[in-house]
Amino acid sequence: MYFTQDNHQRSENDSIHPHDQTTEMHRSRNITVSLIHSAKKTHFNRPQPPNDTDLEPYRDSPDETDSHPDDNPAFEEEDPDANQEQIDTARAEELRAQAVVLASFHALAPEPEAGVPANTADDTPTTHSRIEHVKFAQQFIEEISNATLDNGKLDTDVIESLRDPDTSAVDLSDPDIRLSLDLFMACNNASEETYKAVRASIESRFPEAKVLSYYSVKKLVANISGVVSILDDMCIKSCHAFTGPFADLQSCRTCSAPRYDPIQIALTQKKNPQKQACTIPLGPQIQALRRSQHGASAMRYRDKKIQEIFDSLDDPNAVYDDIFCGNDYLDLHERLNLTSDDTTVSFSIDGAQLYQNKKSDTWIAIWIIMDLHPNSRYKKKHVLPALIVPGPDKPDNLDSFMFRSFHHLRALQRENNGLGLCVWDALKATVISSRIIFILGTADAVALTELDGRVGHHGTHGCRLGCDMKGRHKPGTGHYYAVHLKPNNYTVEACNHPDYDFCNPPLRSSVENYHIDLAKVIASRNQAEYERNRKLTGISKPSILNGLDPDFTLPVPLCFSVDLMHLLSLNLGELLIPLWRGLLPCDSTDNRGSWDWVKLVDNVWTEHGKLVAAATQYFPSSFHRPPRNPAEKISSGYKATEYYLYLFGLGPAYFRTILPKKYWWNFCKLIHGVHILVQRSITCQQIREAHSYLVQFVEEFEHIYYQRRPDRIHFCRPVIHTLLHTAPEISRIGPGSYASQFTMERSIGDLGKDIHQPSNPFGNLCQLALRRSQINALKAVCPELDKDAAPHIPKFSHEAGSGYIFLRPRDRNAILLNGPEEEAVLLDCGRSQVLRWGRLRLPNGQVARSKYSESKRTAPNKRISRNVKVVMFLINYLVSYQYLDEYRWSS
Amino acid sequence: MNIDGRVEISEVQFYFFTAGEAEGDNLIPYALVSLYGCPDKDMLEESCNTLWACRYRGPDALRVVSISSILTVVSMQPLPQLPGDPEDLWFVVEKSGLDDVELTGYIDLMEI
Repeated sequence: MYFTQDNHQRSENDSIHPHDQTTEMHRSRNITVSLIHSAKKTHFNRPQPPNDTDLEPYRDSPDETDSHPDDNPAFEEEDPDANQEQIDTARAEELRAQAVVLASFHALAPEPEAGVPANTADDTPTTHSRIEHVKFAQQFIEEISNATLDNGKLDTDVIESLRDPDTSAVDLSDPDIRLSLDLFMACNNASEETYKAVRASIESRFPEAKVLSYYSVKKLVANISGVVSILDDMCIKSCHAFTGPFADLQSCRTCSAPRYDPIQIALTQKKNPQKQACTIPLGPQIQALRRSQHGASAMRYRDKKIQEIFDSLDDPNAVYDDIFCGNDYLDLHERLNLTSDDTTVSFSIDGAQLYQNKKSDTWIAIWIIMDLHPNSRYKKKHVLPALIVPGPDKPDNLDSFMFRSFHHLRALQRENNGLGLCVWDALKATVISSRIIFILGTADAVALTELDGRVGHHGTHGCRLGCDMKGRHKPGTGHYYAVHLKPNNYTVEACNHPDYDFCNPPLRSSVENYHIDLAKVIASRNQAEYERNRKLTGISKPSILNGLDPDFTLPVPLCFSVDLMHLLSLNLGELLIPLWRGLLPCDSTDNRGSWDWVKLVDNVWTEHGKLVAAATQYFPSSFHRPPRNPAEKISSGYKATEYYLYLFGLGPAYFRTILPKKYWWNFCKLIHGVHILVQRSITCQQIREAHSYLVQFVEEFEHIYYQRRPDRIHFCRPVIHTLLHTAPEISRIGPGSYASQFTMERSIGDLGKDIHQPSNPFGNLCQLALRRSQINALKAVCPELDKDAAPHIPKFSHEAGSGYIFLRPRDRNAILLNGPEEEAVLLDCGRSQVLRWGRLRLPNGQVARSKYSESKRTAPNKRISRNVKVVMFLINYLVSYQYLDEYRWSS
Repeated sequence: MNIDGRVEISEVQFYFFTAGEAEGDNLIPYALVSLYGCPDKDMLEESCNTLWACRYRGPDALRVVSISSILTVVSMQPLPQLPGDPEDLWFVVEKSGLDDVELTGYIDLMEI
């Protein structure tokens, strides 16, 4: 088991829990250790579990009983004027909650005999919630906990090759086969007809060539790659898949649409599913990754990185530049003694827009192989498709669709008594056991609540990260806001707690607290109680990830983090701009006239909008989408990148001339923090710095805008509070850019585009996704078939070493420089005649142009891309600015 | 970032190689850049180091730099003026690491 907080009752006899020693080791690089380990505040002294017969079934794990924590902050919430009867009810409830906690701990306990399903469903009478959708989630989780390869809808030959991987090298020596494979891959984005036509042309010119038929080559690719798909019937309106508790239903339990085509049944008695979702199981895809030496070597990045991290533990300048630098991974690493054989994965799900005029019409989930170098990890070639839910309707019960993917993962985790999946490692030339470790689950805002089982942020403990910060609400409403400072003249009971202590960085919910809260939600006896508990805990149902092997998983809720892209761009943008425009609701007791920060109005707003739009020409093309005119477009789908460049790019300069000084200063503190958060590489010192600026921003924000006024409580949106978590999260799971949904969305979008063919309706997506995975796996197995393996070098370019490439335009002949240009070049290079090149591709993929090339461009929409950040060395550069030393650029 | 180095913003004029006299000698890649002036100190301090505004110096500040000293492409934007501000300042906007080109593999098609 795995807890972030020390459980004092438990730690003594818990020898397998290495957290203490581990954190000692990381102390030098960790700024939040002390926070994580600070003693928990006891708000409510819970009674010890009594000798109640109700608890008997759970008694078989005594140390689990001991581990029951003593406190539960949420219990403070009990109605203060409760009469005796209510107290009794509360007590009874509590006991039931405890029972369920014990049950869930029991379910978490490592199974004694792996390989044999624990059959918790039979052995342990798990308390199912009376709330239907919670019960369903529990049932999915139970079924996942009992997963084996044999009960996962896989064909016997697939299971066989998962257990006994092919160890022979793939033979591509037959030129006909090689030609067929090359041709098939070249036609990846074309139709079957194209393949056939090319094949016919080749055979008519070279009659001796025997190009495989389309059918045969497809089969061959499937065979070599080993990648298969599992289809699950689903409701034609996407309500749910017929899996888990719904597996035997004949019609949708939500909308009653029949599972099978009624006409087909009437005509032929055949059961033809109306619609199917497609899962591409992870196992074979993982096996393919190490089957070539090239692939096996790429899979060793994580291990090398970890060595680097351990070597730099005492280095004060050590940086966080990947997820593995975070303490949660390092703890996991030490606890499991992870090796280069093991495989670490993250899961991401997102709606993808494949067709015009639909918001999200297809839901795609992917596996990210964390063992690869970050620069290839997120690219579409290395991202493994996990699940395709064809649209156009939005899936209602996402658990039922994700079920198959996690069921399979759990089965892989169970293989060989938990030693791992058998994988042929070409570098070691042996079959290794690879434990499949689950690290992070990410999703877009809509799907995240499905994945993490949390609700919106209107509850008492509304923090998405489940910290113990307690919200407050206005008198007479139940809608809580993340208000840190206690309002003046405020008498709302249970919200009257003193100011939040900004000195102590927030503590995110520990695994044990999560389970206690969850148990309370599960134990709710009726809808009203459920709703109350949901509000209290912020949990609406258990996350489906609870079904994975807790030993091989960064457990719920630690496997969820903050999505910076959403938080910084959308949430902040949708608060600050309306705030400055004076669009936030104004209570009757408040007076808009006193809002002296409202400056984005009338002409100022219109002119400001035009200025933002005019900035486009100065944004290099590698900056993607520059902000459109906010005065016109801010409410028509303003994108996250637009918000980012608008607020955090143009903001410091643009709002300087508009906002009164104190508001601008406050805003600059936010910017300073954010500029650090979005870096790909962050030092410990910078994490502290970012945190300090963000805390100042948040505290000051409340002082200058909300001003402790009860009628302005609604200014304090959850995003303001979440900012306090962002810096500590870096030390936990590394910089946000490695877990940002931005990265994931792009991967998913690319995948979506790739499998989207205009001629094919939704139904074909599954086949296309499968073919894509097979081709990717084939490239992994036989890297020689991968035509894009080498970095793309454009025509007529000239490599300049270290990843820099000169690009055209270029002078035809060397020219003689004159004036200051000649002087400079003569001074440094001793010549005055050069052949000028126009553009330079940087190692980071950006293209820097130059005055020379941009003067030649006549396109009307040209965007200036010739300004660069350079690092100069003092030796040949003498001007010095003292204050520059204090300036830290993100490089 | 190299500890000895200091970061400057510059406008690239052009790129060039210098070669030895003989064919086959190593080509050394350089860029001729124009360095922007030093950032306005007051603005930098007032803005918690978030507003780096400087003057464009064009032909008056040309330098040859080695290609490997070029770190990233930045955006230089004209600075909206407050009364009393120096004229003609430009401020730096950097790209966020969240949509890093290296991570996402995004390459502008126009640039290939």
